[in-house]
Amino acid sequence: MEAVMSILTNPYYIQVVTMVGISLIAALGLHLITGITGQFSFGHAAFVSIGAYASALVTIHLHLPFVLSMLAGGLAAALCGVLLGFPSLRLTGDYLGITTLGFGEIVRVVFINLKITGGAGGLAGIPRESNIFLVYIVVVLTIWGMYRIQNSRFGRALVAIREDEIAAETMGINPLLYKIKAFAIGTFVAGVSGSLFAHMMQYLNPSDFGFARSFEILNFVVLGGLGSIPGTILGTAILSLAPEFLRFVKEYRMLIYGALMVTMMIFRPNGLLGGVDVIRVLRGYRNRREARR
Amino acid sequence: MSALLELKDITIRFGGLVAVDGISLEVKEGNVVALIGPNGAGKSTVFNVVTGIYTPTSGKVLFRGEDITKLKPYAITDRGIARTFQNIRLFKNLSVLENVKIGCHCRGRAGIFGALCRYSGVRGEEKAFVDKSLEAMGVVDLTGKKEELAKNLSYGEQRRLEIARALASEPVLLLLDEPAAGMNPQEKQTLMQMVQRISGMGITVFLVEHDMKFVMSLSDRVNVLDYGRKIASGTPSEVQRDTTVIAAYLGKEVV
Ligand SMILES: Nc1ncnc2c1ncn2[C@@H]1O[C@H](COP(=O)(O)OP(=O)(O)O)[C@@H](O)[C@H]1O
Ligand SMILES: [Mg+2]
Repeated sequence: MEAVMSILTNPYYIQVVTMVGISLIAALGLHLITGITGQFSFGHAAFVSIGAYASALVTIHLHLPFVLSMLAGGLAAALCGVLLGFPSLRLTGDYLGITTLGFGEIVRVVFINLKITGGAGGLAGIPRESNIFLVYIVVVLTIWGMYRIQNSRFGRALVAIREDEIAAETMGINPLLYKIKAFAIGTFVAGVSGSLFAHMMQYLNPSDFGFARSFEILNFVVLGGLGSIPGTILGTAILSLAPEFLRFVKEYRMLIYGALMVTMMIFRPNGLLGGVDVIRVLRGYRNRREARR
Repeated sequence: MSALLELKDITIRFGGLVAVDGISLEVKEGNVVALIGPNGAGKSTVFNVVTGIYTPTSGKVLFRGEDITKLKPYAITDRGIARTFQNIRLFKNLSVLENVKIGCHCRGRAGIFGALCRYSGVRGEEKAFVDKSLEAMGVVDLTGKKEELAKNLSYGEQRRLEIARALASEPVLLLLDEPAAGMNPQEKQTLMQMVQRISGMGITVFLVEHDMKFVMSLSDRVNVLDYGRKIASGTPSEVQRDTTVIAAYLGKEVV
């Protein structure tokens, strides 16, 4: 009992579990954009960083309560998401991927060069306002919101775009408008995750939000199964906990992500839980595997 | 009585190829109108122009007197034109019911806020979508398959599901691009009755089909295309007697 208590109160473990929650929030945002709407984004960490810096600056300079700075972080990220979305969501597939990749790098370089964000030296002195409880309240709210979205007229339109954009358009769905809305929500959620991160770490550095981080979040979403919320939770948990407890995983992190991606594409292209509708399974429907043509 | 759908001198070029060359035709309200012609004649291209997927190089499309030539596909669906595709375009990984519910999209209003709050208006709308979807599935005998994934349906069922999905958008005009393709004679027979049922519901039908028995027994009027040009139009019996048509198309079929 005492051993259990000491693990539960170990600040290192609490920190790790909190970080999993923060990553999960960001991943759920990407889940909506990539998993549900089928739009690839390689710059998700940039939106996390916009939310992180925006909320930190609001807290430091305007002394607003944390809930408001968190909202500001989310809105700042969503605003950038919409501004990027208008020109680039007309593009599809590879082109959208390249645009978001470029955007991610631009944002990083901007933060390195801006004075107000502390430049390459980073932004310090952010008050510690977030904690494990707050993070997991936001996690639960986000999961709840994503489930609601997926089972709605709005969410069905997003899935229709992912499945077949031309068919979706002939069903009366305006693809550009819906993609932008999905992008706005997904980047808002990324910004909220960034706010929680900033007020947890109390220090921000542009190098924490580079391409490697974007790729990592994409891995979270892909590993568990694109389009699946339980898959996103599983993928995020496995991939964020493994480096903490297996030292070699941390050292060869990028190598392992690469190998994992390739292995997944070959053996389980839909992710660990991809194509598994958990609710359907629970209801007892026999799940049919896609017959390879 | 003026036509429900009117094509006026439609031409569409793809690079050097003139896929549709100065076609004018009319679809009268309440009719079943066919568009026939050899492969590559431009039939699907005409459908793509009517539904806004292609914008014609020149010419006009009028629907209920309104110029819809430059409207986007979703705006055209909203005005009451629905369609199926020659190469089936279902939402493969979704269930039959979900496919048809997406067809209801343009008759609903709930947005992001409604998704999150699910207030009573939204719940009512969802319920209405399900009722309407089941009704549309009933027209093509798919009610029993509602939980099946679209990709697991037989070919004929997939074609019928596309029709149900189109019906869910409450169209005034329904375009069917080769609805009987790949069906056996028995399935074709049932499909014929379904088209009659749809026509009986007051929906105007405009269809492309290669099966002559199907076309001739269903249609009020037939338009014949060859190499992008309209070479004949009239009642089925007039078209069957037309010598240019026999030379260009039916001749090949009969021999
Ligand atoms: N998007 C396109 N780009 C280039 N050529 C096209 C395109 N769509 C159709 N075509 C050409 O237009 C002609 C008519 O095609 P289509 O309308 O599909 O014929 P049909 O439906 O009568 O068999 C064909 O020669 C086809 O290759
Ligand atoms: Mg065709």
